[in-house]
Amino acid sequence: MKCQKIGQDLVAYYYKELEPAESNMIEEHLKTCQLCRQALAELEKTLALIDQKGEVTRSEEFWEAYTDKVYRKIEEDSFLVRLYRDIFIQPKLAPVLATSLLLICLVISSSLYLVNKNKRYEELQLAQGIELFEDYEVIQDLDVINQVDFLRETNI
Amino acid sequence: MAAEELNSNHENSDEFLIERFKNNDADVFSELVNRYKKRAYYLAYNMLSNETDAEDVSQEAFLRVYKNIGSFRGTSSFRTWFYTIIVNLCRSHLRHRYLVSRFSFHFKEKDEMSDDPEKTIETSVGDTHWQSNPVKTTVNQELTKSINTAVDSLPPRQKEIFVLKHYQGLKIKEIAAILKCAEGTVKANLFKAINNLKEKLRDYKEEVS
Repeated sequence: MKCQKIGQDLVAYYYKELEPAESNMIEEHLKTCQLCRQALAELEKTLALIDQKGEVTRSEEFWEAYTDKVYRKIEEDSFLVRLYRDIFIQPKLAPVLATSLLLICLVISSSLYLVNKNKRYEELQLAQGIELFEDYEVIQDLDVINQVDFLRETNI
Repeated sequence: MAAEELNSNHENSDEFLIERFKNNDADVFSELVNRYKKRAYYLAYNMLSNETDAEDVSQEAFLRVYKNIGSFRGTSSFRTWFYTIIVNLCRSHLRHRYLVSRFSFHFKEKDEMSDDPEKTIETSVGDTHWQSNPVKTTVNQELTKSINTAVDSLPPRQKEIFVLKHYQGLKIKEIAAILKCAEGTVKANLFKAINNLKEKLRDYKEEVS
């Protein structure tokens, strides 16, 4: 058995999670390999040091309050609370909201475009009317109408 | 061990309770809460290093179980399913915390993070023999703080695996199922995590009794 392969299995060996056959192989290897024995000793030492860490303990009152809070959370998980939370606290609906906003913006801008387009068309028509009117005025100024009337009368 | 003994009795097994819960026996849920609340809380606590967050996240995990019990098909054990929920919630909480710390100028991550280890030490000191020896208490406070910092500074994957294995005592096979990876990956990351911790705690090697 090679030392490179044993490295990861050493952890499983420490936690007693190897099959008996694998465990025996490791033990056989450890008898002959100084480096792996040292690696196992280092691993044991590190984990023993970590085990000296103080345990976190909570009082019975804490656990009673904890259970109550779990039930309160379940009760509070009504539709409106869930909706509010999804939107403002955990924005799961953010993509939906963003898409909706985009759609609303698109509708508003296209409506504005259409209104403006109609307005321009009306203005154009008005302008054409004014031009016609101005043409009429030019004819009036030149007194062409009178001349046409005079010619008509003379022809008669 | 206690959970295994309970599971040996069919009527007390998680699977039996889940079946009853699925059949609208709501009282069973309190049994599940009592059975798993400590493990859920301590797992979240070790992952997040903050007691308020740990409480919120572990309670949220129970809420998810309550709401989504219908989607639990029993292909894995309830414990694996429940731990997966907690791990995923912790991941999204850490992601959220990272984003807040990155984009908020007012966020003081240090304050929040350092709040708990102190409390941890105070709590633990009160429950152990260290109280009788002030010199040793100070040393162990330091040691506990250093261990917490060392575990916190591990890469996320290594930290998850180390916490699930060493603090929660899960089997390598279960961890692989929870994290949806190969057993070899769990072993490799665990080995790396312990080596990293060895380096980070080099100064405290003399403390091992």
